[in-house]
Amino acid sequence: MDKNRRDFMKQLLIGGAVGATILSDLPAMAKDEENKAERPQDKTEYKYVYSSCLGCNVRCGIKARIKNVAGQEIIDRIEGNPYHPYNRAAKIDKQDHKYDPIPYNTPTSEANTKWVGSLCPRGQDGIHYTYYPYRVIKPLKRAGKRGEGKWEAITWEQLIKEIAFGGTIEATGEKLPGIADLFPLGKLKKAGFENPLKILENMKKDTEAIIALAEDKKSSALDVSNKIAEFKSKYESLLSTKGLSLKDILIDPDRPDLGTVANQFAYYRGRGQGHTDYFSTNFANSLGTINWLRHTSACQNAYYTANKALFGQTDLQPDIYSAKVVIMAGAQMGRLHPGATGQGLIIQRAANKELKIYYVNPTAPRTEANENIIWVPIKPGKDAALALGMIRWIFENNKYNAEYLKVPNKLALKAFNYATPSNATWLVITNGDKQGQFLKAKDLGISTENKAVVRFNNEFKVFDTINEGELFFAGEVTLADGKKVEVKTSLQILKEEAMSKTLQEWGQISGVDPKMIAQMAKDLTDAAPQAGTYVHRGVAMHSNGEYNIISYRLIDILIGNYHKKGGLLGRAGHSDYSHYCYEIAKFSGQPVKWGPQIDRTKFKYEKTLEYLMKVKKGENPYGTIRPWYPLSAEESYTETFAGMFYKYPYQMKAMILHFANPVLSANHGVKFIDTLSDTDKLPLFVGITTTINETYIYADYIVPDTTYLETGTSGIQYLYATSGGATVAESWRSPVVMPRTEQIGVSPKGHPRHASFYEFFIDLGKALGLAGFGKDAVEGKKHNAGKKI
Amino acid sequence: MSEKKIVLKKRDFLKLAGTTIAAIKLLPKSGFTATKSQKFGFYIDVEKCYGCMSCVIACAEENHVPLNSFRTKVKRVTESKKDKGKVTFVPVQCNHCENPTCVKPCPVGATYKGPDGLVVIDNDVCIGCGKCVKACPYNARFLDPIKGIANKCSFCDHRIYSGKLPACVESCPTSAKIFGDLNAINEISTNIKNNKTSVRFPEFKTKPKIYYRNLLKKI
Repeated sequence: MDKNRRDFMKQLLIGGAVGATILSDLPAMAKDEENKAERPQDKTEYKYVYSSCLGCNVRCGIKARIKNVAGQEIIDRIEGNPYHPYNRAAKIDKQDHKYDPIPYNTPTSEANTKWVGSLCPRGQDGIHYTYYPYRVIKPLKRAGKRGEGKWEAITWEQLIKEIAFGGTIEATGEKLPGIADLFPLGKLKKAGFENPLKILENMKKDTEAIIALAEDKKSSALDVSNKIAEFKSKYESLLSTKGLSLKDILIDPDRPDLGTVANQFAYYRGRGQGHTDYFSTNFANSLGTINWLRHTSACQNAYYTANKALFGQTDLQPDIYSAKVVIMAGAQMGRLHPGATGQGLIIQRAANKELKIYYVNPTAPRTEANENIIWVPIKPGKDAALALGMIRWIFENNKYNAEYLKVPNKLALKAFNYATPSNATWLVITNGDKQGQFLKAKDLGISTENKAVVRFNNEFKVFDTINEGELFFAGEVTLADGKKVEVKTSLQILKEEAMSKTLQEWGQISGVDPKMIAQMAKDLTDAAPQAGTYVHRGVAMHSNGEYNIISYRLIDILIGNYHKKGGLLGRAGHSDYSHYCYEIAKFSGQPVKWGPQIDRTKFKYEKTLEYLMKVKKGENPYGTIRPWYPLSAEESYTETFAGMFYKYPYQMKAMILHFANPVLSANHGVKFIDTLSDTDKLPLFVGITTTINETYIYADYIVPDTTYLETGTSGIQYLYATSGGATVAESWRSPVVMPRTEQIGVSPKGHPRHASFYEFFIDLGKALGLAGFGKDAVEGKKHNAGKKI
Repeated sequence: MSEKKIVLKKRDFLKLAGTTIAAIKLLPKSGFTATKSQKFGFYIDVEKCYGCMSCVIACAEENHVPLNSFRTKVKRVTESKKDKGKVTFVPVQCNHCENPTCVKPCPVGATYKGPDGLVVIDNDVCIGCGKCVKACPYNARFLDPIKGIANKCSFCDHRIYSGKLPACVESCPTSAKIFGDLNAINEISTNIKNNKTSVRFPEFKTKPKIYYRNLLKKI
């Protein structure tokens, strides 16, 4: 063996002859070394930067390990941040029960060397976002047809100039509009009007007056047309004094309710991160567009919408630190909030027999955690049936929290130690033309107030004048006007709905064994209020998603777990830094804005002149080119691109898309290509991105962006409710290494400026002359009062 | 003893040759002190593992493991048909066996069992013949396609002596993996004492030092 080795060493080692001689002559080794292991220890001097991840939108904490290679700092590894509640901490003598982060006052020297936080593989692999070989480093301009994939690199100055004031695609000769065309305030200023803000304000007021007239049942179609004509001539004559026309300011002078031309510009983002959102809203507000849009339809809009309808809050989940039983529905293990990292706590608690999880999902759980994760396979989208089956069982076995439900108002609730009352006892009209509305005190004639009514001791009372109401009632009442209507309590309606099918029938619809439904309901109610439903996108992202979420969340209301330890908690708040040391959210000189968004969410069709005029003319107002979504909590990818495609309710002219890939991430997103590839539907398409993806391939200009490990999306990060709303914490995303994008200049304080989302909006805002951009635009507050930067 | 002799020879040679690579003598700062009395091992609770693959990536990044090669893996095991869909994930890596089958076949003594019981590879000596790769019954070794030599889990021996946990333990979100000295009184030895554990393929009599809880099947 020795001989062999020496031969090899001869060949392998530098200075082979010398080496061989030494080897053969070496004595046996010193005895004192015997008990010591000889190991190559990692002696590299690392720098650690604490920040927030953005591998997915859960945004766990990260601790980036930075290595200096030939004078340049590079990311060597990304570890979990032991200070962060998602990551939680461990060290060599405390590895079991990774439940809590380290105390926040632990010095970083200790955190760097002794403590570690867990982190999912995607977060650890974040290095590749930054060092991806196909990163966009320089501004690009289309050099062929849309989607052809031909680009030319341009300078930053050319990029800003052409996006602001228009450019030409040399290869095709297409003329692209500039955003200045869509800036009515700028046009008025340029034309020389003394008080352009006032003109826009008056226009909005006059538009509102037109809508009010159109809503008035006494007015005729002609009255409204005359009013519009009057509006047009008033502003045409005013604008023509300085060489402008109403068409320069309004999208359609005949439809002033659609708003100004600024609405034809849309800022659209995928992932929203606190400070990038502040920045882009400033831009949108200063330009005056209503179209500041988000990707939520591809994310969890139905979940938000349903929660908002029930609780007035978009994001609620059970307190996973203290819950004992959780119905985990459509929350895929390791994939949904709080991510593979954060869900570790839930799985550990289950494996340690502290938490029982009913895993309602068509796919199996990835562990059974000592039989504390029970798989409840379900037919996709049929969750409401399962929930109603459970509700039926709860009613049948009187396991609802009557003490909580019977209280009709907040004042009376104080004695019971619950956070907020329910409307279980409120009476609802169930027939006639007011069907579905609450019975109001003034309708009943018991008071002049427009308040809900409850029944107690055979008497009807205004809901806030009494401490409790009857939970179940169905009967007929005579209204003040002599009409008779049927009324039921809210809880009665829910009970009847749940009882409309047997447990077997609910089981049949959902594909869940009725025995299992009963077991789930029993376990949940036995553990109440330390129990709840942990529901997420798997049940929400169906066309019936809102109903699924509402059905599950009704169980939470029935057991009265809202705002209880172990029960349902809302997303923890975070500090609002936009009005703190500097006023960075509101600027004087921002124009008024009005009109519906291109995706028609959060806006009533019945408020548009389109509807009102059709009604006036006796036409059927329903059946629109695309639907309207007044109840939607946030925006929709599908409806934005459909709106652009059908030019409904109006034609779009320009879009800046940031951090998104709608073509890939929305259902049948390839359909959006029809819109994106057509310069008639969308004349200017600017992408702010780190890479060219399936959507940005159709862009006219590409603005190189920085990743979250450079300067991109830096700033405040809130925690989702899935972390357990009990945790009041916020993390801050800091730059970890210098950006890889092109340097475009130097800041007034001497720092290098690298091409990014932030720098793009600063320079574009300055070029357009938007309020809030440029020198002295930001006002100091508190100790900075009086200062301007 | 013969393995150890070779290592130390090599180290002295390197010193004499004036190079600084590898084999720097360690003075432990915190954490473990390497002595013969200690026995490093893992306790893995299979019920806590949900196959997030965090350990796989942490290991790959910490140890610069080439693409498509793995020092640690997570095996997905599906139970029989009557258990309908039950899936178990089992993290696997080098067991640092007390009776390693990979040491003997090495023609150059590059693989050896150190005084602390870790089975290690001396990168500067390995010739990449691949005999150890074939000899390992756990399939824990592979030939590094870049360096052309054998590679496998080292229990992160470059970290543990300075008080750091192996990268895979560090990243695990569910504390499914616990690392430590099996001979001391600590979380790992208590867990092994209090729970029924087993090792992979005990019939090979290699005496692995990774103890699994709930390891249901032969994998």
